[in-house]
Amino acid sequence: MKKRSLLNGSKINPHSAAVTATFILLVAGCSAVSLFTPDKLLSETENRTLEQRPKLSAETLLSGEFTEKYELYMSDQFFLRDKWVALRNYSEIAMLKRELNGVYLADDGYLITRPEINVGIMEKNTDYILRFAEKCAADLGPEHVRVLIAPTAAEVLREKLPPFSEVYDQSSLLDSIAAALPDRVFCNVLPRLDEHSSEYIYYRTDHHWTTLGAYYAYTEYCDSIGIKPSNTEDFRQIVASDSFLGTLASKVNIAVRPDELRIFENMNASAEATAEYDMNPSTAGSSIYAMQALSTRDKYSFFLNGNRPIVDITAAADNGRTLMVIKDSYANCFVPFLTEHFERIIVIDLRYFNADTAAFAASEGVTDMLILYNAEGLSSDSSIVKLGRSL
Amino acid sequence: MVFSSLPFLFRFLPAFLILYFISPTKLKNAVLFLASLIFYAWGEPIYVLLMLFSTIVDYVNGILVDLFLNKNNKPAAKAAVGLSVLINLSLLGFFKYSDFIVSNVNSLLDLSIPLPNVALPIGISFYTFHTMSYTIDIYRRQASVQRNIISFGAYVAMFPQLIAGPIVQYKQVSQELQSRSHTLDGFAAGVRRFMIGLGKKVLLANSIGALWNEISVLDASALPVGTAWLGAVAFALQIYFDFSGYSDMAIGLGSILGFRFPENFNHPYQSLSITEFWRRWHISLGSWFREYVYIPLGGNRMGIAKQLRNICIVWLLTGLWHGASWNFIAWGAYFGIILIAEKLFLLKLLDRLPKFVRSLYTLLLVLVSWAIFAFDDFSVGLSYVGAMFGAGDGVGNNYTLYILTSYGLLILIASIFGTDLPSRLAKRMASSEKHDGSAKVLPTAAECVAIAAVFLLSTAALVNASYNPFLYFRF
Repeated sequence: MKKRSLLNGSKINPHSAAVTATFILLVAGCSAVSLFTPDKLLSETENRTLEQRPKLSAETLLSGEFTEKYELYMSDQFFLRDKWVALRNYSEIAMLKRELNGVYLADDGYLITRPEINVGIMEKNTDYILRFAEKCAADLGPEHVRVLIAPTAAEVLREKLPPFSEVYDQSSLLDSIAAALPDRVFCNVLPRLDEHSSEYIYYRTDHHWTTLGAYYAYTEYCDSIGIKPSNTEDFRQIVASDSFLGTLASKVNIAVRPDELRIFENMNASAEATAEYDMNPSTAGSSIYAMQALSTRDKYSFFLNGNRPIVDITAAADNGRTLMVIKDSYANCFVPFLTEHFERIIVIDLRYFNADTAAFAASEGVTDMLILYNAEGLSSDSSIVKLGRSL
Repeated sequence: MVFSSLPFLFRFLPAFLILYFISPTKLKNAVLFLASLIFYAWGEPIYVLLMLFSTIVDYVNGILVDLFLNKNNKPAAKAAVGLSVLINLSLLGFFKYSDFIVSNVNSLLDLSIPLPNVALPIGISFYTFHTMSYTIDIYRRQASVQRNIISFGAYVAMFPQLIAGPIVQYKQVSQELQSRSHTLDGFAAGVRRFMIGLGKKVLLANSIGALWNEISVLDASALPVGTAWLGAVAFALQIYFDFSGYSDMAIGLGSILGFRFPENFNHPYQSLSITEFWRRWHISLGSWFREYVYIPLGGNRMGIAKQLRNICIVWLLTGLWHGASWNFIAWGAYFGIILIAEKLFLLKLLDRLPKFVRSLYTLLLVLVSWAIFAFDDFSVGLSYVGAMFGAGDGVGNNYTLYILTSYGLLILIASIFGTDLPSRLAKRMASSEKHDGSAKVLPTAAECVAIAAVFLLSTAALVNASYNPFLYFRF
């Protein structure tokens, strides 16, 4: 198809022919394959929907929207996209980079998020949490209100980080929040996690703590509100999945050792906890675990079915105590430990829940309040401001 | 559209090459012209009309100049050239400099005229310079008028050099516009050049640019000396590989199409003086200013005072061309002063010093100049330079060591590619072939493997990237 005129009929230079052929094969090959590969709707690895073919019209062309979207569309739909990303990341590693796409390649096969601190947002969110906690302390009594800011792997597993990398000091952040709250309202789980830092308390490929890590935080929380926590021996640890590849694995796309996702099944459980999701009565009596999530990529959704606006758990205790948990996803594997200690647990995710939480708590007869967020989320969360509705 | 992108590599380029090479010779310019319009409109769906306007204006002006010259009416011909220059500079002034002009008027006269906020059409600094060179070249009888508007349009809009140069003076391609040969050797040479450019842009510039991005947002007063210099080195490498990579891709594409574009970069960081640096950096811009500003002003043929004045004018304009803010003018002035000093006495001094010292002198001055260039806000640029010389916070800290370990290897490799070492090695490999053709296999195979490797790694980076900016986009 492509013609080339030869110079005065002289012989073809084999060197030029080889170079030209290489180029044409590569361009033609990738163009054809990328053109004829059918479009995908979802990316399992990236856990998001992929850009689809943009609409072609005079408007979209003139506004530049078509061309902008087309480039995204090509990139999202490129054949073997995950493998290309992996190739790029391996070449970065060959250049001795210890950080890919905002994730540290730490020791012992750990992937650890490089925290991005936005002081302005962090201060704003902290302020809302403080004022909300104070309001709840006034309504329910300070012994029934707890704020738990979970430290992340970047803090607890500091020694695993690449040499000379510096991360924000979460411990002083926690101390400053503790100082701003009434006595004992802040539940500082960092010392206990530090004690157990050599154990498997954070996932290697995901930004969450493991169920074991959540367990240790749970023991600190119990001590803080004067409840006796269950011992590790009270639990049967079931490996729900041994092939868990979490959010951080998706960001780097290189070969990593998968994680184990465990359930701590309480052998002394008086009754099994059930949940109603999203105020939908047809879901009443469901499990707090989502077995179907284990066969998808996003296995962490196994806990509490992922992030829902509201999960209403009918728990096992018979003591009239109703706990409200306002949280981010760190709480999802933490809450199951509390089912033995409360009669009812209402779990709220502010990203999807829009009412006045304090008023809602009062109307539901909530006796205890727990605000649980992870330290890095404070820098980026845009829904904590909704606590302002109650202030 | 940008060369280093998936739509260009895997949609536009194959479609264009197929169309171009199957069309008969007399239609090739038309295909080139139309494809270039599509290429430009892809990024600027409205301003493509502006470029067409500039094309038509100078097409007409060229004919007028030729008409008047043929009638021996030099004043009228000069007026036509003047008209072309006026219109082009007005376009440039309005679309690129209006905010700058208004804000300066505001601060000078204490007014508060609202800023026009005009969007900058991509490539306007390049295509206005191209069309001006056309009318001037016609006037000087250095090229004959182009009556075929398609061919002229092809010259102005030619997608290889439209967005980021090299700045091709009309006389440099006027023959080839009329008739050029498309050979296998030309195609292969073009491929080679294009792939070198792609690798420079995607693998080197974009990667080292990530480091500069991190450092440039840090507070200069808290910056240790080590970090500040690493940042300057990162920017110096990024801008070099970005711009020279893009020029390589342009020259490569030109070669595939049968054009010989002028060289734009010649290992500038190997220079032993600033005078030499500016003969090796953005060569086509320097040539344009010399050809159309410095020499018409008298160059160095009217005594030392006029020469110094001419140098000052050219360098202020060069700085201003790079961007509509004071730091660019300062950057131009910075070099103007150094060049004058070198011309007057410094070069003679430098000649007596060892090469190593001269190289260090040049690199130091260039690195500091990039710190001024990199920040639109002149005061921020100055505080960065201050940090480079200790006005920040200490010599180095953990972060300095962290970026050194993360980027050290990349900086080393990039620096090697900034020298002519790799190309000399490649030439030696290529020339070590005997005439019986038997020893040709290894260099050929090596080259094909290298091309494939650059291709695959670049594609991987592009698929992964949301980070693919082109630094000279403001032109």
